[in-house]
Amino acid sequence: MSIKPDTQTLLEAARTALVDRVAPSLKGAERYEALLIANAVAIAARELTSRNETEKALDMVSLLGRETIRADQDLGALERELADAIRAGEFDDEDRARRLVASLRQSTLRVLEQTNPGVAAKYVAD
Amino acid sequence: MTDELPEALERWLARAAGASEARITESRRLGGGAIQDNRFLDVTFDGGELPGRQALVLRRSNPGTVTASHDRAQEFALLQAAFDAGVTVPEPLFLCTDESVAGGAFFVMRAVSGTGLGPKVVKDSSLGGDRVELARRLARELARIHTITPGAKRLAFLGEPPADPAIALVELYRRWLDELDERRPVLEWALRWLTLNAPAPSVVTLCHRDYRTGNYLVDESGLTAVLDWEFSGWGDPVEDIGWFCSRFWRFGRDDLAAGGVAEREVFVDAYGEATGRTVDAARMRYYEVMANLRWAVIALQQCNRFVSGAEDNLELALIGRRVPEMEIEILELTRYVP
Repeated sequence: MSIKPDTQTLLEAARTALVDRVAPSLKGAERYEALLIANAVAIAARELTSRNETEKALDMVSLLGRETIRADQDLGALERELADAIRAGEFDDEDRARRLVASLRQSTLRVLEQTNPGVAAKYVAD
Repeated sequence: MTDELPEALERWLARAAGASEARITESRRLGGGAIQDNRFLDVTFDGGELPGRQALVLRRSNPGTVTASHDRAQEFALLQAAFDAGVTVPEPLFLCTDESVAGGAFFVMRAVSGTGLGPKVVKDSSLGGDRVELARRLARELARIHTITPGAKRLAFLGEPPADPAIALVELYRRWLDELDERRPVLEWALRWLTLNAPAPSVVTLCHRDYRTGNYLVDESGLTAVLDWEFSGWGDPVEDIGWFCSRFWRFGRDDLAAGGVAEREVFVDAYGEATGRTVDAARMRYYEVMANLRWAVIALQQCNRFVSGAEDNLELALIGRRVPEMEIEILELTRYVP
C-alpha cells in the first residue's frame, strides 16, 4: 500500500513551509534554530531515499579481499573490520592504498550527496 | 548563566579592581560559543585600577566542554602570555576561580569592538579593510604567537613539549576516536597516512590550535583581536598554518585558501618574512590533513554530547553530519598524484 503524499514529499513540504513561511518572521536565535531544523529535515529526506548500502558493503568486502558479504555482518561491522585493517597497516602498500583511497572517495561522495550536496558537487566536478 | 547577575559579581569586580564600588549597568550575552559563555558588561568603577565606565567581557565555562579545552585559569594565562608577546588580543584583566561568584570560573577582559562571524567576515567586503593586508596582518600575528616557546613558568600547565609533535597529535586523535568507540575507515586512513608521512620534528612553539576565520574580530579597517585560546599548546607551528588554510574555514571561498580572505601564498609569504622560516609545502599539506582529522574528531565529540543524551541540542546533533566534508578533503589531500 502506498500513502500519498509519500514520506519524502511530506518532509519536503514541511521544510518548504518552515523556510518560506515561518523562518522569515523569526529573528536571532529562533531564526537560526528554524534553519537548523530545515537542514535536518532536508538531510533526513535525502537519506530516506538512499539506496546505496549494498553497494557500499560490496565495496568494503572487495577491499577486504572477499567476494561475499557475511550474513552476520551489518554495514557498521564491515566498516569496523575495514578500519581495523587500515590501522593494522594492511593498506600501506602503494597499490592497495591507491585502491583504498579511490573506493573510500566514491563512498564518501555518496554520503556527502545526502549530507551536503553543495559540497559534494565541488568534488564531483574535480 | 541566567540573565540575573548576582550582586556578588559586582562586589568581586570592585575588589579585583581595587575600587570602592563597581556597578554593572548593562549585561548581555554575546553570540558564538557552543562551548563558552561570553557576556558583555558595562561596568562603572569608583576609584581603583580602572576608574570610571569600562566595557568588559566576562568569559565563563559552560558545562559539557570538549576534551581538549583548557579551564578558564589556563586560558587566562595563555591570554596574558599572548598579550605580553604583542599579539593583538583583548587585554586580560581579572581571573576568578571561586565558582560561587558567578556559577563557574570566569575571567574578565577588555571588550573589543568588531565582527567575528566567519561567513560574514568572508562575504562582507566592507569588513576587515584591504583583504591582502588583512591576510598579511594575520600571518604576522601568528608569527608573534609562535615566538612563545616552552619554558615560560605560567604556561607550565601545558606540560613538556612533545619530542615528536606530529606523532603526538596522531596518538591524541587516535585516543579520542577510541574513547568515542568510533571506527571510520577514512579517519583510520588519515591516522595511518599521518603516521607514515610524519615530517621530522623541527621547532616547537606555542600553537593557538584554533587560529582561523571566525576566531578573530575585524572592523572596517582591519583586525581588532585574536580570540579563543582554550585549545593552545606546544606543537609544530606549521600546524596552525594548516588549520588556518584548511577548506573548512574558507566558508565557501575555495579560491582563497588563507581563511577565505586571500590566496595562500600571501599568508605564507608574510609568515615567512615575519619568522625568517620558510614554510615547507609538504609539511603544510601534512598539517592540512591533520587539521581535517582534528576537526572531524572534534565534530564527533560534539555530536556525542547529543548522542549520549547529555544535551538535547539540534546543532550538536547535526555536527556529526559534517564529518564527510572533512573526510572527502582528507581523501583529496592524500590521493596519490600520478
